[in-house]
Amino acid sequence: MKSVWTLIKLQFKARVALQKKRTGRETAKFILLLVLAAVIFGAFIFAYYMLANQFVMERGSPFDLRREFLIFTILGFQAIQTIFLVPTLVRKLDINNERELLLKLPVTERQIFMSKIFVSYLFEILFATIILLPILIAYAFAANMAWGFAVYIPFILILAPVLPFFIATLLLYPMQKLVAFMRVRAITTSLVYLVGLVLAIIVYMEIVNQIMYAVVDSGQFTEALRENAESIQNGARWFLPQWLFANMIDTRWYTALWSFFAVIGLSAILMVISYIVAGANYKKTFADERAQKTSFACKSTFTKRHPFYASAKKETLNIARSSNYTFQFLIVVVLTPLFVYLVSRVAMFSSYQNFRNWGGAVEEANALTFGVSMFVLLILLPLSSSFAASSITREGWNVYHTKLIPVEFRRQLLIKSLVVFVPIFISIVASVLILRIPYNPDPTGGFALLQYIYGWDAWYLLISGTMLAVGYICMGMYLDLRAPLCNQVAAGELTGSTKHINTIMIIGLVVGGLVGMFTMAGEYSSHLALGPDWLRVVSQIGNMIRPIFFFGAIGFGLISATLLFAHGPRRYYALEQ
Amino acid sequence: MATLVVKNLFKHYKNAKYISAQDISFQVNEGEIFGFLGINGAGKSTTIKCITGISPITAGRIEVCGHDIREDAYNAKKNFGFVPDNHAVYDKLTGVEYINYLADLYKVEPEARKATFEKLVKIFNMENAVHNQIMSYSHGMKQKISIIGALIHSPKLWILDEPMVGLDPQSIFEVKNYMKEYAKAGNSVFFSSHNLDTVERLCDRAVIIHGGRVIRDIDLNEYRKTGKNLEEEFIAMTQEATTIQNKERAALRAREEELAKEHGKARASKMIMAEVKDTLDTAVAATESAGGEGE
Repeated sequence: MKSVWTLIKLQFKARVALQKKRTGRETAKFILLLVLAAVIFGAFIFAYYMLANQFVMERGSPFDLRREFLIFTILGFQAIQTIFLVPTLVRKLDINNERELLLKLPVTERQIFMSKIFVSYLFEILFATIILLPILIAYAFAANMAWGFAVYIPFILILAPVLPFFIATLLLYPMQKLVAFMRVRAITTSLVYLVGLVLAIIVYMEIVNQIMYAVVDSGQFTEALRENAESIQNGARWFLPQWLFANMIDTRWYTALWSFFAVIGLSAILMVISYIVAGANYKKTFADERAQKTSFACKSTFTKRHPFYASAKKETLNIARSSNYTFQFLIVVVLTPLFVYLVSRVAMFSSYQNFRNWGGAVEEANALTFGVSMFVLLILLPLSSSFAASSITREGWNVYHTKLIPVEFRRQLLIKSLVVFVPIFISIVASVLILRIPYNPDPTGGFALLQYIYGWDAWYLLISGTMLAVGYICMGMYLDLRAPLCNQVAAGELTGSTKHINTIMIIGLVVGGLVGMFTMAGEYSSHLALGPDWLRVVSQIGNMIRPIFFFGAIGFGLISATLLFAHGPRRYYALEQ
Repeated sequence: MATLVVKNLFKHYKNAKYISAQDISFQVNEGEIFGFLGINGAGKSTTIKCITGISPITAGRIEVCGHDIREDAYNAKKNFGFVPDNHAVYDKLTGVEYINYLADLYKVEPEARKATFEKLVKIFNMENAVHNQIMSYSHGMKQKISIIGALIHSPKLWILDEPMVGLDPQSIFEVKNYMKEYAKAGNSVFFSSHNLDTVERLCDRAVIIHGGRVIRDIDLNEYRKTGKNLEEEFIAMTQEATTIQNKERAALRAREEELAKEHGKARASKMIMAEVKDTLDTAVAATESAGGEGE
């Protein structure tokens, strides 16, 4: 038991990195992130509280759906916990430093497993405390609960992770197989993640849209709840474990008590099964180390290609087979049109409603949508373009190879820049085209069909966005060429941002943020008939920025490209690591 | 005919207090296996980097099959194949993809690349690994795929930097045999090594460098007839050169310390750098005036 305890302490230390001393900068960053997370979570709790209010009616009323709401809350939490827990368990119950531990410490394989499973469960309780506790408190306020409910809260926090843990252990084996497959198929992994993410964002934005429709017609939501109260109540009864949990909080004391014992019993059974299943799986993993494969084989034949195409293919394969880059790059490139579209849709809908209420015209809604789409595009462009700022660094030691092949440096730079530029250009074109799709902002289809932005605005976005991307890509590559960090990525795998990537990202976010914000605010305020003086100033700045930015973006693109292609080859020749 | 001519090569790295290559001259002829010897830090890798175009040269001239590495880099690079000492290959590609990529860069016809590839893969016993990602290869296998990549376009000059490191005895044997076969076909092999025994037995000629200077150019075919031991001679020569070099460097450090007392460390360092630059300029000018190659 002492050995298990030692292992638990080791695991715990490794997971919370207690031994690592943070620098002042790291501490500040950590606190900032913590505050940001607290603000976001606080907003969520407030929204949850507001939503819970909608379900709380007078007790005994056929429309009182407070318990059902609680059931779905616990269900939602457990679903999220399961989603996070599956990859965590796959990672934690994989073979990591076991052999080292077995050599160094007088412990057995079983003791290592016990410590791992214990620490994993402990962290799930911590997760429940951080996430579920504030939710339950918000619920208690919304449902006007008596303080007695608090008695069962610690038990809920300890026992709620049992079901996710059980499901996760059942999914462990197929997931390990899947991960082992995906580990060597970076592009497949990235695409799967990407599709999942795109779907999640679409669903999320659709929910936002629906809420906006509901806000426009505020009585509609309550009415819908009333109409469906009976089916919601019937549906909730199917979720037995969550129903038992809800009983512990929100019912008479004797029902709460037997529900508590029922939860304890059920949890004990699930825990035993989880332990047996996970233990058997761990033993097998330990025996064959099946998830250790990190490379793949693929049969290819000899076909002749033009050196330009061969270099581009090599560059693309190198990127595509490194899950880090593929994911970071693809995600922004693919999500840009999607974000531009979804955010513009919300902007178009709300502005159309507002202007309609205020007696404005369609042009005004279009103008505001242009400002919003421009803001989103300008914010996302540096995130994808900055990828080019690691083009030389990413070569690692292979940078020597690029210097001895019979391909001119200028051509190599062109290939590297095109590999980044082409997907970004497609993304910009898609973003612009998607905004020209006819759209009806009225959910009932009552209004005329509109396009999100005008034709000339589309050209404006296309040209300025493209030239800005050219500027970021060429400037990023030039910076990287001046001082690459190839010796830091000897394995050819870049896992974090370099200072050049950060430079381009920061410049891009500041420029994009300011220009986008002023354009958005300018478009909005210029269509207001009346307003405070400062709004007029904003409007004037916005109007002034528009042509300046357009020609500025073109100039920036041309200057950066000239810098890269005129001086880059000389820099490349002089490159020494 | 010479496949490689290095004439009055000077190399000085930015901010370095020593000159890495000083007036290095030699040439490698067709059909020759050429050994490049020197202790660690002698300047072997620097010279090789200059020959292959990896590092820019400070002064002098390098020609590969008559093509200047600076002025006609494209044709110079097409005529050599290089095996680096760090086994830098694209880990994410499979063996076949990597070789195919190189063959594309050198515009090798599909039939020719297939024939060369199959021949080399068989020699180096790589049949079972060529379709796997290079990241799964051992150190020695990476070295082998690097060798195959360097030879896929059948270059006139095959350059290798410490080629035997990490190879198993069987592969070392195969590499040495292939070097002989390659040179016999009218090509040249230029390789750096610490293995004096191999160089003595395998090479036609060898150059020993120390402190960035050529200290001996040996015709090994003649040398072998004398019955002398290359290893003993190498140690004697390099020890003597190291003693001289240590004295020179100690003098430089003493001068820097002296300057530091007067002007401070940072300024002294800059002054020493300026002196090194002056020495370099003088040496280059002297070479030029003697009819050698300058900048």
